Amino acid sequence: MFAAGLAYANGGEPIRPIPATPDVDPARAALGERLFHDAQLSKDGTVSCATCHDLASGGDDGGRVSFGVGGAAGPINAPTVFNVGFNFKQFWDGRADTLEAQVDGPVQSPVEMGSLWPDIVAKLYRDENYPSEFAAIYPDGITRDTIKNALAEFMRSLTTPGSRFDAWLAGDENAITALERRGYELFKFYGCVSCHQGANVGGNMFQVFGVINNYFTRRGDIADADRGRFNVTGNEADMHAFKVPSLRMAVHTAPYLHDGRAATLRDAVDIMFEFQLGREAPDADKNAIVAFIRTLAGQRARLDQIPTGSSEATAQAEFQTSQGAHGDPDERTGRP
Amino acid sequence: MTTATKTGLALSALLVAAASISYYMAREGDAETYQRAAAEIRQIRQLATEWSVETARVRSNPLGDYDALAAFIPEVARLKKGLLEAVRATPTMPERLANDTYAFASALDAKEERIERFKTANSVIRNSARYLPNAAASIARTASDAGLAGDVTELADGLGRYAASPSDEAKGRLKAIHERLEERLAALPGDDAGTLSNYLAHAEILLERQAPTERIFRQATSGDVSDLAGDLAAEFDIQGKTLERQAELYMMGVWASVVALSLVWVFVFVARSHPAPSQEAQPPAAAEAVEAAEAALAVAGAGSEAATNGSTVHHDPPDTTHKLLMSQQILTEVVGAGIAQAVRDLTVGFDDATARRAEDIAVLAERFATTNAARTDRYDLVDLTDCAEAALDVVAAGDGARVVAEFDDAPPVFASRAELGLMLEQVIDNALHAIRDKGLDADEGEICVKTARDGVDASVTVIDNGIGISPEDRMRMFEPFAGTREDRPGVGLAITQHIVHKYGGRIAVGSQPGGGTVLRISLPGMSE
Repeated sequence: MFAAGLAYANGGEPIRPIPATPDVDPARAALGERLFHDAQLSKDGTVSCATCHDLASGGDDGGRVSFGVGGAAGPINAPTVFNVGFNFKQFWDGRADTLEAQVDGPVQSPVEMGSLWPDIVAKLYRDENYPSEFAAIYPDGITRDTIKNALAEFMRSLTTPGSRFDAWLAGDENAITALERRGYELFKFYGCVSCHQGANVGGNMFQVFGVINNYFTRRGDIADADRGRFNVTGNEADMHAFKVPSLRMAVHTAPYLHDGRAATLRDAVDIMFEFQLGREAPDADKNAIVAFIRTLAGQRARLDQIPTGSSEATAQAEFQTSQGAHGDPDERTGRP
Repeated sequence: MTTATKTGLALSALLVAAASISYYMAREGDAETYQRAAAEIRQIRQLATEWSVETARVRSNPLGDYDALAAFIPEVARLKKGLLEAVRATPTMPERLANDTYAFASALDAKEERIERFKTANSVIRNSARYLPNAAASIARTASDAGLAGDVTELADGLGRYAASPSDEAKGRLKAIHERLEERLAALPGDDAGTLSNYLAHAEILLERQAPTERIFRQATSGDVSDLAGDLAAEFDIQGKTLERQAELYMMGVWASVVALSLVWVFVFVARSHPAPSQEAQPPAAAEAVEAAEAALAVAGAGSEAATNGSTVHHDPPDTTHKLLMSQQILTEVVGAGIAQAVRDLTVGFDDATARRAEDIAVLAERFATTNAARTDRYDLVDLTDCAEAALDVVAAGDGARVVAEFDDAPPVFASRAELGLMLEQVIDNALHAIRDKGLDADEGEICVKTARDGVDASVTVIDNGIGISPEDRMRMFEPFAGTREDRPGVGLAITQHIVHKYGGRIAVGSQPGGGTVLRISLPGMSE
């Protein structure tokens, strides 16, 4: 069932490579890409998805928090949009089960894009190209659900295969340096890998931030966003629990942590050692771990390399709004 | 029969057929929904089992990743969502089944939440459990380089053993070794100083969190969801099969009734197309038509019974039962009224005997319709004495004979009052006819009606001093239309027996030709 059989077939390594090509429908992803860059999705036409998720850098905006319509500051550090298809849930607190469901968040948030879906649908219908483009792909045309599906399909296409580390996993001994190799061994030795594992080196579980030592007592100034998963479940056990972020593109996505308080990778590693591991480690070890993390970033997958008419694409052409109201046809985890 | 009557009958039949077919299809559709849901629940059950297995695998493999475990979430969510949509789209679903489904969905959510909590907790102990042997190996290596091999190897061994099975005792031993070696360990070079300062802390974490993690693991992988799924799938299956069977039975009833109506209509048509009847000779066609009407009544009765059975199989949700019964009620009313009307139209201008017989059939058809309608009434605790008194009134027994009532304390019977009434009316009416047939007038004839307790049963006995039943006739007395009288359809005892058997009762008949009849009915009583 699923990838169960594969889980430990990876030479016993807890990190698995990213597949060379994303499993998406190219036409939908292409439509989603245009929507992703389209500021019409925001209330005042000033902000697109790409405003805070810059694909030319790390898939985020490089700020501690992000700024939406009217210059409003958001409550949390924008996560990267790369490899989100591998995340088991979306948002820091995991409140969206699918990428389709996730789209509602930033689009409707008053401090992000501040839009209402009926307005967006109406705007897109007035556009020169969207009506015919949607009609060609979705029998239902432009609807909230088809917009969300296209955006989600595009996000699923944003994988970053071909990293040096993946090459090393595939058997290329020279793909990483001795220092980076030592960093990986230390990553396992100190226990980072207990949470940051799988294809996305994270993104498949929740962990309490401050599991060994209390981060928030030290930091002070507790905001709503700091409560993490507790905001979703109301369960005390989930207080300060967050989705473990992927480290795949970490090298490009400073600043770090949900509050954006770690300016550099090394800062983030220090905080992790202190609050998550409760350990001291020599600088040399921490620097080696940072060197290892740098090897995880690959290149954005090229959509033009996906064969059209793949079975997946054909199956998805049968998208129906009734079934896809919450993105069901695409509730995949993006795993091979 | 007038054209308007014909048209009305035909239209009614069409309407009933159309309504019935749409009802039937809706039921079939519902049955499919239930069966599909059962299959989905079994699929979820299978997934939940694999989910638990994978959770166990992750627990025992400190180097395993969580990807495979996380992949169950969307798959289970998809099936769960389909299930909940089916519940919402099936307003006729019994509330109990809907509630069980919601409970099952909640249990799945709880399972997911527990598995997530387990993953979180497992990461922490996995972290420490893995760190300790690593630390031990590191210490042993450095110690050996520093010439501390003996004692420190003991410490490293202790760490490794502790990681495999942490306990208070093992921790105490570890602490003792540590204290004994403290000074010498302090002499270890650089990197291992940090390692050393950490291992006892991690030994503590491991010890503290091992048991809670184990508990969460057991909760997350317990069979609750699987058991619930098994039960729920079975419930959905039963419901689906019940609906299917009901739909079949109902359709059988509908078609039988429609056939009955058509038969009446055809024979009426044939009869009317013959030359007008004369007072002297009864045309054969009219007699045939009456027979046909009798046969139609029998078919309609059987059809109605099938439909009734269809509505009472197993546990039917109240609203569905109601719908079915309403539909059936309309059907039987139309069939009954239709037959009555047809028979009356048919016999206009015929001789008295034929007309009387036809009128009897018409009355029975109407009663058939109203009795069926009465079946939608709730069953109740019925006192046989009340029923007997009412029945004596209905058939005006006092006009044809002296009535002797000997009512004793009979336990109540759980039944339809209308049906028990009909049953007793038939029996008392038969007694009156037997008296009349013997040529006795109202003073000479006597009908004695007794009610009594008969063990746990309630019994009613009707005794008359009428003409009695010949041995040959007794053989066929419960067969419909096997009556001995020219002017009566002969279904009274058939109806009586049907009702008695329906309630699990018995009929006993004793008779002397020419000397009277004793008929005794026992029905299971309800204790109070």
